[in-house]
Amino acid sequence: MTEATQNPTDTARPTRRPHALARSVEDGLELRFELPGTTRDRVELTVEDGELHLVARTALSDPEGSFRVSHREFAATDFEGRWVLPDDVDVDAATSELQHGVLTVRIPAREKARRTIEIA
Amino acid sequence: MVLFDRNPFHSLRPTPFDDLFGAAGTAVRRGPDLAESFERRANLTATDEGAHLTVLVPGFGPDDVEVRVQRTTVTVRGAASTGDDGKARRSFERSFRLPFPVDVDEVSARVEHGVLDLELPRSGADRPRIVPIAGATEAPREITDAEVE
Repeated sequence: MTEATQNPTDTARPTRRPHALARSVEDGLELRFELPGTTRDRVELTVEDGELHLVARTALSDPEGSFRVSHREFAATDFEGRWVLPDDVDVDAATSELQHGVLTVRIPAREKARRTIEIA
Repeated sequence: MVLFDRNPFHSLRPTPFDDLFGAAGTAVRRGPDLAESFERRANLTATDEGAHLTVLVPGFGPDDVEVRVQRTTVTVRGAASTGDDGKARRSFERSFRLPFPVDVDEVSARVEHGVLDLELPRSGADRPRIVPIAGATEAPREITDAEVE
């Protein structure tokens, strides 16, 4: 499979922003991205300067040869999006899981540093 | 052409998910766990041999999807449990009118990575055929050079 070895950041195909949901869970933040047609080795998830960058290549394609379009609601695209994360999460401890085209990312809340400020 | 669409959250509208995350580069706002706005967008293409239906069903596995085909109508139903407790359920149903009757026994369906692909071969009786043209039974005769002159 040649697709699997392609660089996920190669943006030769058009991309669109995936549906995404953020919700608070007991120990932090849970993010869900809908990425139909993608597999684990085609997803690239990076965090830089508090910004989450997601690129996912998909296997979505139009049929080969000549055909008539009876109904069309989506284009064969890849997914890409950027989101600014809250400050109080620990991205180094993040975990993620991809199942049936849904990527779930869990980012635990940072343990609050407790400091007593001495009064001079 | 869509015959009808009972889906109350039509997938082409902006969804509550998008509102939560806002435009690119905006901060993640933590919202309540809204009703899932999973996609159910569909593409339907056809050739003389058959139709191909693709439905985006992220979050639904092969066991969560049911496909019903009757002559010129395809109905796709999905039901999956969500959430850690498995209690929350989400479901959808969409029906599509096909441009021609299909051979129900030859339909094949596959759900992979949140994408449903349906191959719907056109019913044999309905396929267009090349009709042989009847004409003179005499074999074509080669024209000689002498005749051309």
